[in-house]
Amino acid sequence: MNIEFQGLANLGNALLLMLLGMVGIFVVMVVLLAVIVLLNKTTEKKDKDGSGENTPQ
Amino acid sequence: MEILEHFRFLYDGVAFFFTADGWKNLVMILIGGLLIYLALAKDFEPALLMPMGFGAILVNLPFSGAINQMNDALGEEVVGIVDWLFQVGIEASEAMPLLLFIGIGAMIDFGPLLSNPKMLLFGAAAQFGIFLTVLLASFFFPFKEAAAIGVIGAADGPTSILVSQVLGSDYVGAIAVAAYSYMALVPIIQPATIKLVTTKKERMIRMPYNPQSVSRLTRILFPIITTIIAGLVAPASVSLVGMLMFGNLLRECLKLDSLSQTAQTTLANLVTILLGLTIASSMKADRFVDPATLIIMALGLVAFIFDTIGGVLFAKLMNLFLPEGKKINPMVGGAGISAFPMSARVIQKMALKEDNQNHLLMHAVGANVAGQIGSVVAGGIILTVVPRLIGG
Repeated sequence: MNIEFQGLANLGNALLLMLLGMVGIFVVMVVLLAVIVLLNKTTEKKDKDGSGENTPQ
Repeated sequence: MEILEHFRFLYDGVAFFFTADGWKNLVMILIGGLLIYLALAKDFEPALLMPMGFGAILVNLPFSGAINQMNDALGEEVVGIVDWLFQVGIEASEAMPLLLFIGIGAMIDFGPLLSNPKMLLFGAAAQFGIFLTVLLASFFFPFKEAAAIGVIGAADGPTSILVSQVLGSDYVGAIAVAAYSYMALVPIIQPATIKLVTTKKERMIRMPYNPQSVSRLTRILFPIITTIIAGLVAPASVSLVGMLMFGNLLRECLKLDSLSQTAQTTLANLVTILLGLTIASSMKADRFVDPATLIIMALGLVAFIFDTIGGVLFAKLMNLFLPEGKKINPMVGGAGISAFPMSARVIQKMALKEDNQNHLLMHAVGANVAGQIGSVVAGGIILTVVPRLIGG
């Protein structure tokens, strides 16, 4: 395998991958964040109701 | 003289080293020895680098029976164990890195992340090095190869192996060696990088740890929901995220302790032993001794540096919007890479060095396990997007 200088041939694809990749990861993480916050809030209520489900860290 | 010819097999192996390409095999045997030395004497990811180093010796001995060889006398190819393991365990199904993920998932406690979920954002920001490295690698390599090389920045051996294999990279061996080597070098790479982009005052920011309790239901639902969300955004990530989260579900359901323990110990150990040896199949001299390997090693370092910078700068960006008293120590952002738990420990050590009362460990662990999720999602996104970009 020899290295061949590719010049700017792949630059467009690489920049597009960077954009799609970072946006994609942040979308997944933000949705997860929202879900966890929601889960924490709803199950916290349950614990206050006395279900005793919550576990300490 | 004819009788001497019968004894030729005794020196054929040594004579091979003096053929035109024989020196490359010798170099690879030395590299194998170096990996074993680093693993055993310097404690560099010994569980992986030792089997990889030994495997490199196995596959580069002249006419090695550990790899597929054409036997001219018998007129047939004799299958070697290392090549067979590679074909079955990685090439055909990517089974080994995926099975290892079950063990990793069972080992990870996502509790610190679930009680402080904003740490997820650092797990995203600290994947920046992957994409910057793809950009840099794309000047030297075809796009598909550049994408495979960029995944070194996932700071996660199984993800790097799987993504480079699925993309059909010729450099799976070099990518795996780079990923594991730099993971071992996190305690050197990260402090130097973090100091470059932070001030002492920023490194001394204190972050009180007041975890909220996390219910068992949340702990059980988290792996299931994560798999579904990641799978919907990047379907190619389902195998990666799925195995990781399956392992975590085994741990958190509290009903399958025996299976969870097996995944954490027996399964993870078995796969680790075989994975290191198997990867050596892609460390044959004709592929590995190449200027491209050196460039890949350099790009791997760039990936780790810019992962760290991405996480740190994102924390600094968040601080612009956070009130005094709620500010985040930017070093925690650097823990958003996937090298778990080494990165979290590095951040804790750095924080204590600046201020011996500043305990950042649990925040850093949260960011660190978020990085585990971020890296597999990044791998999945690359596997989803790159074929489409190449296909136009």
